[in-house]
Amino acid sequence: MAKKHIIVDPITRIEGHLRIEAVIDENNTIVDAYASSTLFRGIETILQGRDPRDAGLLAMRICGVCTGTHYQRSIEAVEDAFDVTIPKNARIVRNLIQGALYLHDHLVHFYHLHALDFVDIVSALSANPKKTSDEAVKWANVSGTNPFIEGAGQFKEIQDRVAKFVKQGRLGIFGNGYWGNKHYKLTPEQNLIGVAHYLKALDIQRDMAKMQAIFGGKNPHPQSIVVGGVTCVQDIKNPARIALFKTLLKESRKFIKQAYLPDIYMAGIMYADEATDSSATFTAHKKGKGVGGTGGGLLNFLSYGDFRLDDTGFYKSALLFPSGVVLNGDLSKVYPFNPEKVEEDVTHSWYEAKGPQHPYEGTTIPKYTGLEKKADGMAYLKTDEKYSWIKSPIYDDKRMEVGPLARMVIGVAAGHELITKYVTNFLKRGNLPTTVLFSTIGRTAARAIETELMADEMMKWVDELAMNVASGDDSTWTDFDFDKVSKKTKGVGLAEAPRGALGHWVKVEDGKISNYQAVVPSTWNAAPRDYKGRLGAYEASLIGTKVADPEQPLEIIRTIHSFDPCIACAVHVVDTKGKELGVYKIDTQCSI
Amino acid sequence: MGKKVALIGSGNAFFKDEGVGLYGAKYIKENYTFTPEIEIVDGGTLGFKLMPLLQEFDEVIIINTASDESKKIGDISIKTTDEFLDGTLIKKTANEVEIAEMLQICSLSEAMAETTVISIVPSDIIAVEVALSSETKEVWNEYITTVISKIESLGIKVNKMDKEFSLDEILDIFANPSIEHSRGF
Repeated sequence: MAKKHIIVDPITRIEGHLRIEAVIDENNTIVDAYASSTLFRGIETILQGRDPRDAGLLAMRICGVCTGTHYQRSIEAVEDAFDVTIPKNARIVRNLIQGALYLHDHLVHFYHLHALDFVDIVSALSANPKKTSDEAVKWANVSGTNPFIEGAGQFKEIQDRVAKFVKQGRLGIFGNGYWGNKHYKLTPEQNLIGVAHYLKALDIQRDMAKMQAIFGGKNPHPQSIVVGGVTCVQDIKNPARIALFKTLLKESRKFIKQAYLPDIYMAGIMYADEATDSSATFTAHKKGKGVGGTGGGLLNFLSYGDFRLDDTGFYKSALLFPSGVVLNGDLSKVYPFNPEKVEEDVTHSWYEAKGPQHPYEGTTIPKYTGLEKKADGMAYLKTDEKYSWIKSPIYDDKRMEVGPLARMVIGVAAGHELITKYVTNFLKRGNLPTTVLFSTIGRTAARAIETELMADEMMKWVDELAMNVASGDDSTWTDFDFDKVSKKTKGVGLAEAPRGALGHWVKVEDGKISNYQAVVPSTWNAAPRDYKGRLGAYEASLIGTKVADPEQPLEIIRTIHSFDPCIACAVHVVDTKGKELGVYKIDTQCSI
Repeated sequence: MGKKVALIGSGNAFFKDEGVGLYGAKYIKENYTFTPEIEIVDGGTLGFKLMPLLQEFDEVIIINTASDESKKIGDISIKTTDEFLDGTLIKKTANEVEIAEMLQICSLSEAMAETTVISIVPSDIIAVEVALSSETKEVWNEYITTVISKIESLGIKVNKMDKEFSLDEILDIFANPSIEHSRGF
C-alpha cells in the first residue's frame, strides 16, 4: 500500500512550535499522526527559589495567549497553599476578568484564527450581495434572531473593500489560504457573510479587551490580582466603571448572538455530513458505539471546573463549569475529577523520568535525542522513540481532551441545568444530532455555545457585584501572616483557561518556591503518545480524516485549529524539501 | 490635537535577548520624558491582545527582535506599515509570529495606526535568563538612539533625565516583578 507523509510544520518556537506528521493511505485518508512541539520551555526553572507572592507576575509572562489565566492560576495555587479564602468582591471581579478573557479569546479564535478554515475568501468576491443579505436573515432566524449585518448595500460595501485589499495585494494573512479547495463547502454568499463578520469582529474584540482592562488594571497585562484578593477597590466602588463594563458586555452579546452563533449554525449544518461521518471515527472507537465523526478523536474529556459561584473557598464551591470526566463519548456517565490522578509521562518526550509523575513531584530533566534524517534529506520525527518537548499528561491512566467541548460535554453528562439548556437549544434549533458534537465542527460549535452562555452569565455577575458593593461590602483582600503560612506547604491552582484545563502546582518551603509545575491545556491536547503507545488528543483527532489534496492539508489545519492551539495561526505548511529542522541548544540554567 | 503615539516593547523577558524590546521600552520610560506625552506599553509576549492598541493610537512603534539568519547579530532594522504588510517581517520566535500576523490581520481593520517595527537581530534567545548577550549589549546605545530618533521624527520633544536608570536596574525589575508591581510599568 502506498503511504505518503504529510508534514505540517510552522516556523515558530516555544508553545507555538507545533509540528504535525501525518501518514495518508492511497485514498488520501489519514491513518497515522504524530504531534510534536519542537522547543523546550523553561517554565518550571523560572519559578524555583522565588517568593511565592511573585509567582503570578512571573507566570503571566510564560505565554502571551493565556497571560491573564496563568496569572490567576498561579496566584490561586499560592492561595490554596496558604489556605486563604478571598472575599466575595474579589471572587466576582476575578470571574469578570476571566469571563471577558473567554469572550475575547473565543471570538478572536473563531474569526481571526479559525474561520478561514471554513470560509473561502476568494469565493466571497463572486457573491451576490442581495442573496447574501437573504442568506444572513436565514441563518440568524435559525438562531432565533435578526442578522447583525443586514441589507445588500452593507454586504456590497464589504465585498468592495475586500476586492480592494486583493487588488492592492494587501491580503496579508489571507495569502496563505487554500482557496478553491473542494473541502470548502460554503456558497459564495455564505463566504461573504463569514468575511463580513470577520472584519466586524475586529471592532468587537476591542470592546472585549476593554472589559478586561476595567477591573484588570494596567492594560494589556492585568495587574490587579494579588495573593489574598484584588487591588481594584476604587474601580468596583465607581458605578460609572461598572456601567461601562455592562455597556461593553451588551454590545459584545449582540454580536455573539446575531453573528457568531448564526455563523456556527451555517458552518455546522454545511459541514454536518463530515461531522457525523462514522467512517472517519477514530479507530479505537470503531469497535464500540461508532460515535465521533471527522476530527472527533479521543472522546475522553476532562474538566477541572471553573468560575466559583459562592464563597466557600477553593474546590468546595459551586461552579459555572463543573469538574468531571467523560469517557468514550458516553454522555450517560460522568466520573468525579480527582486531582491526585493527574500524572505526566515522558516516554515519548525529550525528558528523563522513571515513569509517570504527579505534578507535585514532577521533574523537568531534558534529554534531547534529535530527529532522523532520511534519504530525501528531510528530518523526520523518531516516532518510535522520543519526539516532542511536550510531556504526555494522563488522567487515571487514560488520555484526555480538554477545552470548551470537554466543558460542554461534561456539563451535559452531569445534568448541569444551565449547560444542558444552552447545548440542547443549539442542537434543537439547528436540527442537529448530539453526535455532531464529537467532531471538528462540534469542537468549534461548543466554543460558541460557551461564549453565549458566558456572556449571559456575566450580565448577572456585574449586577451581583454592584449590589454587593452598594450593600456596604467593600472588602477586596484577605490578610494572612506570610511567615507563618509559608514555612512548608503546597497548593494547586486548578481551573479552566479558554482552551482547556490549566493547573499550576506549587510547593513552598521557608518562604520560597521549592517546586513548580504547570500543566497547560495545550499539553493535554498536543501531547505525543504515552508509555502505552496511546495517542494524544491532536493525534487521535486526525486519524480517519479524508484529505482532498495532500498538497493542501486544509483538513489537518482545520482540525488542529479547532482545539485553539496557543498560536493557531502559526500552523501552516512549508515546503520542507531539503530543509532540516534546527537542533536547539538546551540550557536549563536559570540565573534570574 | 497632536497625534496619539504609543511605544510597545514586545518579547519574552525570560529568554535573554528575546526580552530586548521590553527592556528597551522600560529603559526609555525610566530615562526620558516626552512632550506631548506618549504611551509606553509593556507588550510582553502578547500578540493578538495588542490589536486594540493598534486601533486606538495614530502612531505605534513596536520594538522587538527579528531572528533573521541572513543578517548580522545586532543589526537593527526599521520597517514601516507598507514595508511589513507584504509579509517581510521575520517570523521565527512565537512572539515574532504573533506580532507579524496580528499586524496583518489588524491592517484589515478600518482604522489602524501608522506602525513602525524596530527590530534587532538577537544572539541568544534560548537561555532562560533575564539578561542581554554581549553582542546585543554592544549595540544597546545605538538601539535606544534609533528608537528615540523615530519618536523625535513624529514631532515629539524628547528630554533625557539627569540621573540614568541603568540597564542593570531595568533587568533587575524584570527579574523581580514585585519591584515593578509596587511602582507600575
